[in-house]
Amino acid sequence: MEKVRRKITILRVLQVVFYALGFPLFLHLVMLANKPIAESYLAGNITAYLAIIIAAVLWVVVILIQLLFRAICRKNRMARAVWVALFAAVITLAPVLYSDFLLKNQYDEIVDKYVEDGLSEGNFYNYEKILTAYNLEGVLKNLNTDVEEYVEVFNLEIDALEGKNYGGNGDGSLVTFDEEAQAYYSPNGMFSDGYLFSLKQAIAVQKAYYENKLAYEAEGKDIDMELAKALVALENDPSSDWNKYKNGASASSFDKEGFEYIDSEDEYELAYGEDGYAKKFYVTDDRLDAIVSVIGGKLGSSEQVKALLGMLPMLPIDLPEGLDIGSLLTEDLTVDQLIDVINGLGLGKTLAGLMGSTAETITKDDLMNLLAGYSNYQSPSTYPIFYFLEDEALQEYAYANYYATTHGTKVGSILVGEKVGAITLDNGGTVNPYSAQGLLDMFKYWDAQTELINAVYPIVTVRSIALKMSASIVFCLLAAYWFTSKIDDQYAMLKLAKKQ
Amino acid sequence: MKNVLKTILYIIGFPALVALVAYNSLIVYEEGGTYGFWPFVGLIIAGVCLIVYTIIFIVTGKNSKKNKGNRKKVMKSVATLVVMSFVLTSGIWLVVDIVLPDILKDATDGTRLFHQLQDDYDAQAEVHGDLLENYIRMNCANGNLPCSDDFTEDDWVEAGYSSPEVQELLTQNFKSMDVNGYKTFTSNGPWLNMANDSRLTIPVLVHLVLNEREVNEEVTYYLSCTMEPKTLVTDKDGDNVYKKPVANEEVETVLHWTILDMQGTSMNIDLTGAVSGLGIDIPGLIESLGLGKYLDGILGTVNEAIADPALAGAELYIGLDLRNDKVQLMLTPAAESRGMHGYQNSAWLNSNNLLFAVISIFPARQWLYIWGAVVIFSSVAVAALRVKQYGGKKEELADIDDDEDEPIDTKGMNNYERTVVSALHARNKMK
Repeated sequence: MEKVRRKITILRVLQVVFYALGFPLFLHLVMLANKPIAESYLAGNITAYLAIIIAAVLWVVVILIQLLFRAICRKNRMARAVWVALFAAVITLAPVLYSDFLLKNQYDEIVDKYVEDGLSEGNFYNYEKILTAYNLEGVLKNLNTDVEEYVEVFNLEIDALEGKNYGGNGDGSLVTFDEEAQAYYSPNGMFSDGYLFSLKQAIAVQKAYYENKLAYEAEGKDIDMELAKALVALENDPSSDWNKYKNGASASSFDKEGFEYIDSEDEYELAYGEDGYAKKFYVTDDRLDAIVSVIGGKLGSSEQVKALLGMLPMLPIDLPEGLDIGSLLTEDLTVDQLIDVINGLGLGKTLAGLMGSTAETITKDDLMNLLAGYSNYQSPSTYPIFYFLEDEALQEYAYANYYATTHGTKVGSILVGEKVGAITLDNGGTVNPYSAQGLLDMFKYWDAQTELINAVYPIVTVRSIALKMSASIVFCLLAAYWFTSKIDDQYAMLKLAKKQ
Repeated sequence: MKNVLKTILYIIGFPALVALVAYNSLIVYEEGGTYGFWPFVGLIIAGVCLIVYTIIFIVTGKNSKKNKGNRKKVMKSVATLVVMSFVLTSGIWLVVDIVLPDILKDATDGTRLFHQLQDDYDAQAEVHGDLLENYIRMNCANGNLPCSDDFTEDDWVEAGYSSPEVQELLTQNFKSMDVNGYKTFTSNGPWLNMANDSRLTIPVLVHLVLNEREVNEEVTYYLSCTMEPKTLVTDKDGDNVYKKPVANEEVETVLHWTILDMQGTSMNIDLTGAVSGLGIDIPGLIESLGLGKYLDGILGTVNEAIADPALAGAELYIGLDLRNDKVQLMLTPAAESRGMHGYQNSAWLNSNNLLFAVISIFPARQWLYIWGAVVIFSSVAVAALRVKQYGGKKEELADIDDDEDEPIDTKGMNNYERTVVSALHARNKMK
């Protein structure tokens, strides 16, 4: 009797082992094979695990078939085993057959679409090569390397590819997250003050920027000049929507279709009017005058400064005649006087050069423009001027330009220009290694690969494992059934032996 | 003999475990010794587990003895001991480990993470011990904690957090930094968070310096002396030392804080390249013309201007470092001279008692895991001894089952036929 019991134990172990060598092993191998897709930055939440889901569904279907045949073939265990094995064979071969006869067309269609759109055919393997796991893994690894390089150049965050919000808006207005867009928005529809671009939005901004720029260039136009002209026109035309907006005109009087104020008709006045809250967040003319006045007053009352000024003639600086710096250093010092001193000392050209200008002197406007680059504040509760541009391409470019430069400078992720990424006091940014067309082509290639990751690669991954395992799954299932029947036989022996 | 063995097994189990926790927590007690019972929280937890285990050990022992001969009851009793030895060691922590990382992250605003403390609790204990020691030394230097021959700086350090003066100073001055510093920054945009995340861009810096911030005039800071850093550093070996402290007329003042105070570190900007572009040898010029004596005063004037509400509205020291043929602009925060760490360290220091409690949990956790296996082993060994001592004889195992059906008539069949008929019969029954 003990011998029979031991045999039952052995048979049970074998039954479990052979079952585990079937679908459980299949699922495990698919999980391993799916790793490159799961780790791909371009895979969606579901797509990243689609191959595993498919493999699990195949297993579940076979379990359901097992249950079904348990009900249908109640007495004939052999028939049940054969039917289940047959269905298991069909089900595991399905992804192989689907891949080999139908998926190839889909793959070729996607590749052809992007090749027609300007990508080189050399960017893609042919379908047969993609079926090889080694090649597929290589494609996905290279793709990840490209994304990592891109993220590093533009100082995005690899751990926050879905974007990041560093905190509430300066004016306390509501920030909302759009999961689909992977972006945090302010009430005016722009990115929130502390929004660090998601990969998706960084790409979208650069696409909008470069596509429009190149389209204008193709027509022999400079989009920056066209934009500047359009903005000046909006500013100078008293009846423009922008001026209506600033003056709080009735919403129905706007030419812009469906225009609505964000909060109220006086929203612009509340932000940028005489006591506007937005003025707390940037250097205004008045603020600059106050700063200059304090500096003038403090320096003017300093004995050391007076002593140093007395030594100016000994320094290797050409002082213009009649310039008495000492008399200017009072609380009455103005920005204009300061600029005169700067120009008088011959430093105007140097400062203008720093601003990218070839002028010999600088003006107050130059100084304000320089400050605007570093100290500006677009209220999240008012529309920017470019919201009122009529030309859609120009408007799209204006927004992209604002995000890529002004917003990008702020969050440390400048997206266009010669120097990109973060510009800080001790870091001048990263030299942009991408050309406009090169970047657009790279995005196109990423789009193509994203489509393939969604539609082709998961099935190809299941196929690669199913191809190897289909026969062994069938064999192992049959073996598990056989061991089950042997266990039953042993139980019967046990009873028989007992009765005898 | 068996009782001696059981006692030895008991001792190498939980009591040894608690001793190991205490031994491995020595650095925590040393560093946080002035924080009362807080650094002992881990040991207290292990001690409570020891008490619970000991009670179970005694009760199950008595139970086994009482039910001598009743193997079933003795088995139940010893099983309780073994299960509880697991629950009180690894079992609890397997559950706590699921929730603790999030609790720790929330409690420290993400500044201390589970994985940082998990195995490196010694170093963290030292960090948090140093926070207090350095705080006391900074405040001795600026006179906030008066030192004399009778009560020296080292006496203050030794008294640590147990000194009411230190506690009061810490609470009052941290409140000023929190309410009139940190919160004024965080309530006015994302700028501080960006600066803390290595995104201190020029626009962010401009926002942090120039944005108007509201200060609570009722929250004051205790500062008995004002110390200013030396603004011009030209000596080859000279450090950024502070000038002689000047006693303040009003020791309770409303202070404004800058972004550098929040970060607690100086910012050095190397201008050597920019200056060489101008073609002027600035260090040489300063030395040859003896401009140093003027520059020091001028930089002091600039610092005054920066402290004006029209500019930063808070003290920030601009200095020049002209050592080693370099021209470096030094932006030095006022925090250190005021006796404060940067905001994050100050916030930790303000909650140092709780953090020591958290840190002390980690050696307990680690040894409850490691020595848990020994505790379980010793419990199993004790259980085996008790079963042998009180469990009586092993019962005969019941046979697999009793078939009450009528036997199948297999007379006249050979062995093979008998097997097949019986198997079919059994299978049909199972269905």
